[in-house]
Formats: sequence, C-alpha cells, structure tokens
Amino acid sequence: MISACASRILKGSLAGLVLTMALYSLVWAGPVYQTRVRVVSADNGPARTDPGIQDMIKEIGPVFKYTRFRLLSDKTMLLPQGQKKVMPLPEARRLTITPQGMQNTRILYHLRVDTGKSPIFETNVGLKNNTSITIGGPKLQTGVMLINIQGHTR
Amino acid sequence: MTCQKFSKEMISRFVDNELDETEHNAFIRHKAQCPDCCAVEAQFRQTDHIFEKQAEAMAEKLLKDAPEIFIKIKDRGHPPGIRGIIQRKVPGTPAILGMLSIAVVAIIMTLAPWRHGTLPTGGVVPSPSAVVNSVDAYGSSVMILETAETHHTIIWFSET
Amino acid sequence: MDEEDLIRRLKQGQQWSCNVLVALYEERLLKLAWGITLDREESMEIVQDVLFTAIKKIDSFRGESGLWTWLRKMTINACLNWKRKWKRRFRWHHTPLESHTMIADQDTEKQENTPESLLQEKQKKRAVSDAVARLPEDVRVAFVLCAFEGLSYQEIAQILGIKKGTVSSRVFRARQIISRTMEKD
Repeated sequence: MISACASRILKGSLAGLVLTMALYSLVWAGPVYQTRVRVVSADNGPARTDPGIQDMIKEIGPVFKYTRFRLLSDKTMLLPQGQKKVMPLPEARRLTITPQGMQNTRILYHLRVDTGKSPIFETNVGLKNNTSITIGGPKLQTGVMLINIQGHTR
Repeated sequence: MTCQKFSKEMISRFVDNELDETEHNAFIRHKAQCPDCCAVEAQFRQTDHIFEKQAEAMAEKLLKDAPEIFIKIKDRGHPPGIRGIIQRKVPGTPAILGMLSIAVVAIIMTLAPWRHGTLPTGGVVPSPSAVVNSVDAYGSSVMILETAETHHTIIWFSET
Repeated sequence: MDEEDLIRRLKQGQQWSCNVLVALYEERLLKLAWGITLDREESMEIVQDVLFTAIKKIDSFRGESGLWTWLRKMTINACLNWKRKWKRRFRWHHTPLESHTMIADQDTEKQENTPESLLQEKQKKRAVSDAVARLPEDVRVAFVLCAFEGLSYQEIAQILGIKKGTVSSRVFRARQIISRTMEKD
C-alpha cells in the first residue's frame, strides 16, 4: 500500500519525466517553424476583399489587376525542420512545404505545387522572419489562386 | 427605337458605308421621313466621335506626361567599342580624355556607399521579404517581383 | 521629306530619320493602342516596341503598303498579343484600372456653355468611357479599327482574320452596348 504522499510524489515524478521527455524530443527534433498558409482566390468579380486577408491584399493587391479576393483557407502549423507538410489546394492540387533551417536571419523553405501526379511549380526561398511570400497563380475557375506563406521562428 | 423597316444593325452598317447601293439609297430616302432612324444614326455617329476624341486626348496626355520616345540606332560612321561610343556622344573630344572620364566614373561606382546596401544618407536599403534561391516552373514562365513599398516578394508563374 | 525619302534614310541608318518617324507616328499609334487596350502603360510600351521594331526591321519593309499601314498592323498585333501574355495580370505602377478614368475635358467644341449642357456633355462622355471599358476586347478592336481608322469591314476582317459578317456584328454590338449605357444615364 502506497501512502497518499508517496502517491503524489510518484505522480509528480511521472509528470516531470513526461515533460522532460517532451522537451528533450523537441530539442532533439530541432527548431520548429510557425508557418501560416493562406490560399486566396483572385478574379475580376465584384470588388471585394475578405476580412481575413485585408493585410495581405493591401500589400499585393495593387500589383494585380484583380478586383475580388476571397480567402479559401487559412492554416497555421508548427513545422519541425525537415518535416514535409502536404496541404490540399483547390482543383485537385497540393502544396508541400518543408522548412529546411535558417540562413542568417531567413527561414529556408522548400515549396512545391503539384497535381499529385505531376509537378507544377517548385522553389527554394529564404523568408525573412515574420514576413511572407506570395506565389501565384495556378488557374482557378475564372481567376487565379494566390498562396501566401508566412514564417515565424524565435 | 427604330421603325420596322430598317434594323439598328443596318443603320450601323449605313454609318460605315457598308450597305449595298440599293439599301444605302433606300435608307437615305427613308430617314428623311423617319425621326427614329435619324436619331439612331446620330447616336451611333456621336458614340464613335466621343470615343475617338477621348482616345486622341489620351494620346496627347500620354505624350505630355511620359518621357519622349527616343530610339538610338547604330551609327555606321564610327568605330565600334568604347572609343566609338565616346566619339558619338561627344564628337571632337579626344578619345583619351573621354576614356579617362569613364575611368573616373567607374572608380566612383566601385567605391560608392550604396553598393554595400547603404544609402548616402546612411540609411539601409530594405531587403525583400523572401530571397528566391531556386525556382522551377516546369516549362511555364516565371517572374519574381518585389512590391515597392513593403518589399513583399511575389513569385508569379503562368500555368500552361 | 516624303515617305519614300524617309524610308530610304531609315534604311541608311540616319538617326535623324528615326526621330522623324517617331514624331510622325507616335501620337497616332498611341491613340490606336489605347483604344484597344485602354491602358496607359501598355499603350506606351506597345508603341515604343513597335517603333523600335520598325526601325530595326526597316530593311525588311518592302513598301507594298504604306508605312502607316505597316506600323498599324504591328500595333494591332502587339495589342492583341499583349492580352495573352501573363504580364497583363499586373499593374506595374500601382495605378487603378483606368477604364473609368475620365480624361481631362479638353473639348474645344463649344455649342452651348450652359451648366446643364456642359453637365450633359460630361455625363455622355463618362457613359461612353464606362461602356467602352465593358466591351469585350474583340468587339472593341473591331470598333476601334472602324471608328478611328475608317477601315472597311473587309479590311478589318483581313487584319483580324475573321469574316466580314463578324466584323459587322461586332461593330454593331459595340455601338449597341455604348448606346444602351448612354440611354441609362
């Protein structure tokens, strides 16, 4: 029979062990990059910009001749270095993101857009911390798709 | 509105002298007694005129606002190379003096502070949000842009 | 200096003749290019490219048609090809689409200068401007060649590689769309 005190000590130790293992695995796995991916549809429909992309369109909207920008998806992920993340895109396409480490103050990403069977686009970029890059534009109905990727690390 | 005798498309063709002789003369006789068809003809001519005037005004404005179009062609009367360029630009100046001035410019450019990303005022040239190390669009054309104000990087590929 | 003389001097590579060519044709080409593209930057670029190409390829100009016909054809092709280039997606200088931009009123035709008539004139021009911007490009090209250049339907059909009947219906459609817009206002 274990006393209540010993039981508490045991539980605490177990919790500590789990926490240590978690921390250790995090350190062992390497850096983790917070990556936000927003997929936007751009076309010449009635003028409109969805609320979730006002900041992005303020930056890049004037570059394009599109009048309507709609947010199709917005995902934020914690990606360990070297881990591939595959995300579905509209029209049966996929985006694969792989953070590959740091180069000076820039996060290196490998980005690939494909149909699953054949590649469409691939790039290696160095993204300044807390900034984003926009890739376009795979065709999407009457307009195009814009993919905005934002990276953050400590 | 037009009367039933001549359609608007026929009136449009009349404006462009594209009716055959019989139709053309028939319309001329008809419009003398038909205010509706006259009005349509007048409206078509007016729209042509207004649009053309707008285009003329725009062309004039573009020439005023934009730098003059100047196309330099290869002058076949001078030797090629730097000496040729100098002689073309400043005819009569000894070539050696011209070459010296180019050398001075080259030295200034080499030592210029902005080559190292520093503006003469001491400011730093902002870098783009992303640096593209490699890109492959599998046959599509690619363009890499940077927005003027926020230096946001855009990679654009034209899907084929 | 007549056209033959100008062509001869261009072929000899005389800089002065280039300046003359530009001065003679740039405004007219700009009018045509803008009428088709409705875009300032594109129009300027297209006209610069056309004049540059004309000077570069002057040796291949046989003189069967006049200089203007040759330049016009190059400009039309450049305008039509421009839309297929992916560059058209971009506004290089962050200016808004100018389809609704009214050009500063430079109308020197004074009929009546009452406020009502001036306002009516301005509204008409805006209506035409708006309507023209809404025209599909193929319709607008045919209309521009007809209204600006006074070309026959047959000539327009040859330039655009379409049937004469198609030219007729496109020109009519342009006028119809513009007229309806003016009637609404």
